Amino acid sequence: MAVAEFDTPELKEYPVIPRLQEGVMKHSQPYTAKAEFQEKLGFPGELVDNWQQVAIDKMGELNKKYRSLGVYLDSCVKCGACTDKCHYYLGTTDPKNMPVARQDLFRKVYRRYFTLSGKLFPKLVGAEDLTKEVLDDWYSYFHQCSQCRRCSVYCPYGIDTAEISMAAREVMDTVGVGQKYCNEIIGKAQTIGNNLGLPEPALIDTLEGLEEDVEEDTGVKVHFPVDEKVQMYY
Amino acid sequence: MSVLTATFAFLFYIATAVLVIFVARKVWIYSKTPAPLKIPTTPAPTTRSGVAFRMVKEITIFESLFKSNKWIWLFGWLFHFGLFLVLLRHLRYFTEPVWGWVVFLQPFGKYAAFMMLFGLAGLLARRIFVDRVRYISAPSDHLMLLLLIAIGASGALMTFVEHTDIVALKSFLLGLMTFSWATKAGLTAMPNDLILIVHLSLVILLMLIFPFSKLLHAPGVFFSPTRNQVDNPREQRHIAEWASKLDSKKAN
Ligand code: HEM
Ligand code: HEM
Ligand code: SF4
Ligand code: SF4
Repeated sequence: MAVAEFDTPELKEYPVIPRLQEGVMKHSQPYTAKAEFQEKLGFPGELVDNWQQVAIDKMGELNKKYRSLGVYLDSCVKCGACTDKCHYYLGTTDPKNMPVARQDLFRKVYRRYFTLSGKLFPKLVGAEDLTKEVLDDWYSYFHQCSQCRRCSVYCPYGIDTAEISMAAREVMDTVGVGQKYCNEIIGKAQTIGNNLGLPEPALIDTLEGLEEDVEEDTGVKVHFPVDEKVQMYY
Repeated sequence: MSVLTATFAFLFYIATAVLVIFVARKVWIYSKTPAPLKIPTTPAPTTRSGVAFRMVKEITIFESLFKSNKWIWLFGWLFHFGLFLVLLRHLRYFTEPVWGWVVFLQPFGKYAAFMMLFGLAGLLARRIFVDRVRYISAPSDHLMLLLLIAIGASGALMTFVEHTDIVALKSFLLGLMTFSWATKAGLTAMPNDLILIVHLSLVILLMLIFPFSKLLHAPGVFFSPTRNQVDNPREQRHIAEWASKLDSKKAN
């Protein structure tokens, strides 16, 4: 079997921040959610025709619902303090995995359509139209953020990239490019009742088997309830 | 009234109005927009006074930045603290009589200009030489630093090299504040002095772009949910109005 080649960085006493390698993770996109699951969640099954307008409207709507979004999009001073704080950047060296650059994918569109400076002088302030290329970048890089919020600990204003990647994902859902491992799982949890999509008889059968195994191994008789009202202890 | 005096009088009124109205508008929007999620970053204070203390540390010593990057912290803090002292020193142009502590600041406060310029130079150097910071910089980010350097340098030139007529300038500024052009006494002429004209033109530019640029970080930091929230989601239900509507819809 062919073994993948890894470029493993050497561990030193002080961590060495890798130099940028542009675009190395651009290709890495998760599978899109199937139309069937998208639609069950109330999202369009595929990219809608007027997706730009839909996306911009959605950005405006989210900006009114979440204070974090407006404050964070306006406040970043590009100081660079967060640039070496994301494990996805440290591990991949792709500059768009630096928290501030990830935010900028969203911010440059926000500036173009929602701020005076971006409407008047887009080149000057780094504002850009929402094009298909930008949407592609969103799909790659907003799914390369685990929303761990490590970057927000280090930002002098607590700018939380997770707030922005959540908003971007919601915009993408709304225009019809949802992500399989989020939306299909939510869909299955809603329609079938569990995230793996196991049919009820199969799940009950599996759990009965487990009950027997547990009793055999430990001598304790346990019951794994399915669709029963029980007292829960967390 | 000379053309110079009239022009600057007009520009100062416009710039002040733009600065005040549009920053107030942003602050209004920030304060009216709900923050539906409880997201203070750990270690987070569990009381209101704890939050106040955290905020004071953020704006006085840039605590998070210190944890994050010592170079940016050093340059950034020197710049901001220098700027702060410079602005306090400038109060003497706008108050009559000048407050005692502002007088006290004057003799050594003027060296804050070097602190500010040194910090700005360091920040600009990082923007040019550190590849990660260069990557995230738009032209406006460089220009903002250059603008502040030009304001600081022109100010320092007046303080240390080529003095301007401070008495006349102050009289002009106090006249603007008291609308003396509308009275019989009229408005004192602004000194016709090249360095001063440059300094003030750039200051007016700074005031005009403040509400539309990243300088919004100054009001913004007070509204950051990761920094200004109390960590008490179990003690107190935190829910925005639009989210509670979803809740009640589900219950029906
Ligand atoms: C509440 C008041 C303020 C706070 C807490 C604050 C805090 C900060 C912090 C933590 C940074 C990041 C570190 C750095 O790059 O210096 C920063 C950057 C910056 N601040 Fe402020 N600031 C305040 C007010 C101002 C004001 C009034 C100005 C306007 C003249 C200003 C201009 C800047 C600029 C230009 C930068 C970017 C520096 C760069 O390009 O690297 N700040 N601020
Ligand atoms: C209406 C606003 C302003 C006026 C009328 C003004 C006027 C002046 C004058 C007359 C001086 C020379 C002082 C002397 O000879 O002793 C000066 C110095 C200076 N100004 Fe300004 N200025 C203004 C705003 C600003 C702003 C916003 C900044 C910073 C961003 C700034 C930065 C400086 C610096 C660094 C110096 C030199 C150090 C000092 O004397 O404190 N000025 N300014
Ligand atoms: S929240 Fe996203 S951008 Fe920030 S450190 Fe975590 S993975 Fe990186
Ligand atoms: S640390 Fe915060 S302000 Fe600085 S570049 Fe990153 S997100 Fe922007």
